[in-house]
Parts: sequence; structure tokens; C-alpha cells
Amino acid sequence: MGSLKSYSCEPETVIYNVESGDMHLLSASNAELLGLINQKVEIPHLLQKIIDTFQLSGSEAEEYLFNLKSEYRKLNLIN
Amino acid sequence: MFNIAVASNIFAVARHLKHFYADYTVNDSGDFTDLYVEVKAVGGLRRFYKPQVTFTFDGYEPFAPLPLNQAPAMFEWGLNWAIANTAHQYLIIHSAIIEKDGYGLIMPGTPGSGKSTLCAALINRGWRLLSDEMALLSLDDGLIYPAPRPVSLKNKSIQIIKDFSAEAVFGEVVPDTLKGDIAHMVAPESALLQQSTPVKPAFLVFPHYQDNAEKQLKQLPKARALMTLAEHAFNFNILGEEGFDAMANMIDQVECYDFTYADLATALEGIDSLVK
Repeated sequence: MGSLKSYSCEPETVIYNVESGDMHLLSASNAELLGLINQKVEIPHLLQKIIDTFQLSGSEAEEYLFNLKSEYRKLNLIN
Repeated sequence: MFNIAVASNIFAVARHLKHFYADYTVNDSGDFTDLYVEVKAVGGLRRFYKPQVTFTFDGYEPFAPLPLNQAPAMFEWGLNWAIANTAHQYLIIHSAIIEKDGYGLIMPGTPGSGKSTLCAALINRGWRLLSDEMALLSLDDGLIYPAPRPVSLKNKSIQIIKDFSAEAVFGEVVPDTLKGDIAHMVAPESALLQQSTPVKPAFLVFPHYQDNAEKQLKQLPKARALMTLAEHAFNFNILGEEGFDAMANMIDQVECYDFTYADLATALEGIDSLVK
């Protein structure tokens, strides 16, 4: 993963990968989660954030986080 | 803006320069020349049965030769290419850029969007032309610098603008180019008088021409506008992080719109309403 820059303006955020030059348009919530994942915030905190933001159950939040991380890995936004 | 040296052995190119660039400043003071371009007829036997023209920039031919009657158009296209590939002190956005009352309006456009037609009409109704082809966003000060040149119009747009403005001065129509029939319109005097005056960007408008559509000027979320604008930047990949920062700073300052229209009169109303 290269270093990332962002431009935020509700309700969306643009993430720019400095090394690859790729740009991605994310919802503000998913961009915030990306930031937290890259800050190595602990999993329980991430799950609680997802539960609060999207009104999901615990298991739904786990699935959401799994899918999100897998997508971000594919896009080279996280390690 | 740019000092350009042109060499050509084609009479039509000389006539084009005289017609469209007569009021530009001649650099006889020995100032640095930014771009050296050549537009020359291809030699050899070919010149007798299928005459062609080549465009050369610093000894490099970026395009395949074109029929000789397209020499002036090739000069204009080639010059666009040369600027877009060298002027990396700017983020270069493929768009028209015009100004009124100090408000800069950037109008990127995909083919068929009507960007050049709208631009040609607006500069015949009190807007100042900075460029109909590229917005030069300075990486230093975030202002957009003018590079006024003839406005290129295609197909039906040529007659639309001739009907719209009796004062507009055109060159010959060149038929059957890669872009269809094309003609150039002389840049208005106001564009040349203020060719050293940059403008602060205020509006970013993505035009969409659509038959029978209701006029609609719809605010565009800024992050989405940034994504779309990046697709219109010639040298975004070359500038990298610096280009992203320049574009993000500009998006922060401007109002962003998607603009759908079906005819010129309502389009002008819509654009003019922005500065009222």
C-alpha cells in the first residue's frame, strides 16, 4: 500500500493513492473506517463503529468489516 | 502566455496565422521560445497524387500525416498537444475556460457535450475567453492562466454560431477531418487585451447537450466532481500528488454543477444565472 491522501466533502470522500495514482470515491463512513483500519485500531472498536454507523448486529458487522477489508486490500488501500 | 516559433512551407498555414493570429504579439525581443513547431508538406512523389502534411514538435512527430488541406487544423491540434505535454507548471484540464465579472467558469466536456459551442456563444455575449480547449491551473497560485486561441467548432455547431452571432469571424470550413467538418472562429479582442490576466476559478460546470431535455442546473457533490475532473486532466498522472492537491484546492473554492440543456438560448440563460 502506498501513502494515501484524501479530499472529503460530505457525503463522500476521494482517496488518492500517491504511489499508484489511483483515485477512489468512498462514502464518508467507509473512508473513516479506512482511516481507522490503517491506524491499526483494534477490531472490537471497529466493529462497534460499524454497529453504530450502520445499525447492524454483531455478526453483520463482522461480515461487513471482512468484506470491506477484502475490498480495500484488492484496491491496495490497506496492507 | 507561450512564445511559439512556427516553421511551415504551406501557404494555407501562413494564411491561417495571418487570419487568426494577426493581433498577437510578435516576439522580436529575443525572449525565450517555449515551443518550436513545424507544419510541413510531405515531400517526394506523394505530393503529386496524395499531398500530406506532418506536424513536428522539437523534432518529434506525434501524429500520422494528414491530408494537406487539413494543415491549419493540424497546426491547432498539434499546438494543443505540445502545450498539454510540456506545460507541467500547470494542471491542464481539457475544458473551456471563460470569465465574467471576475468569476472564472470551467467547462470540461466530452465529445457531444456542447462545450465549444457554448463557449463560442458565451464569448459573443460578454464573457471573456481564456481558452476553449484547456484550463491552465497554476500549481503556484491556484489561478487559471489564459491562452486564448481560435475557437474550434465542428459540424452543426459552425452554422449554429454563425447564425447566433453576426460579429463572429470564421475561417474556411475544412470538411471530412477525423473530427468531422471543422472551422475556427477568431478569438475576440477582449481575450487578447486581457491575455496576461489570470482568473480565480469560481464555477465548474459539466455541460450535457440532450435533445428535448428540460434545462437543469444541478449541484454536483464536490468529491464526485473531483473524480470526474481528474478524468479531464491531461497531465494529472504526471503531476501526481501535486496535481491532486491543486485540483482538490480548486474544487474547494468552486461551485460544481451538472448542466443539462437542449438549446443555446436556455443554455446561456442557465450559465448567465450563475453570475447574477
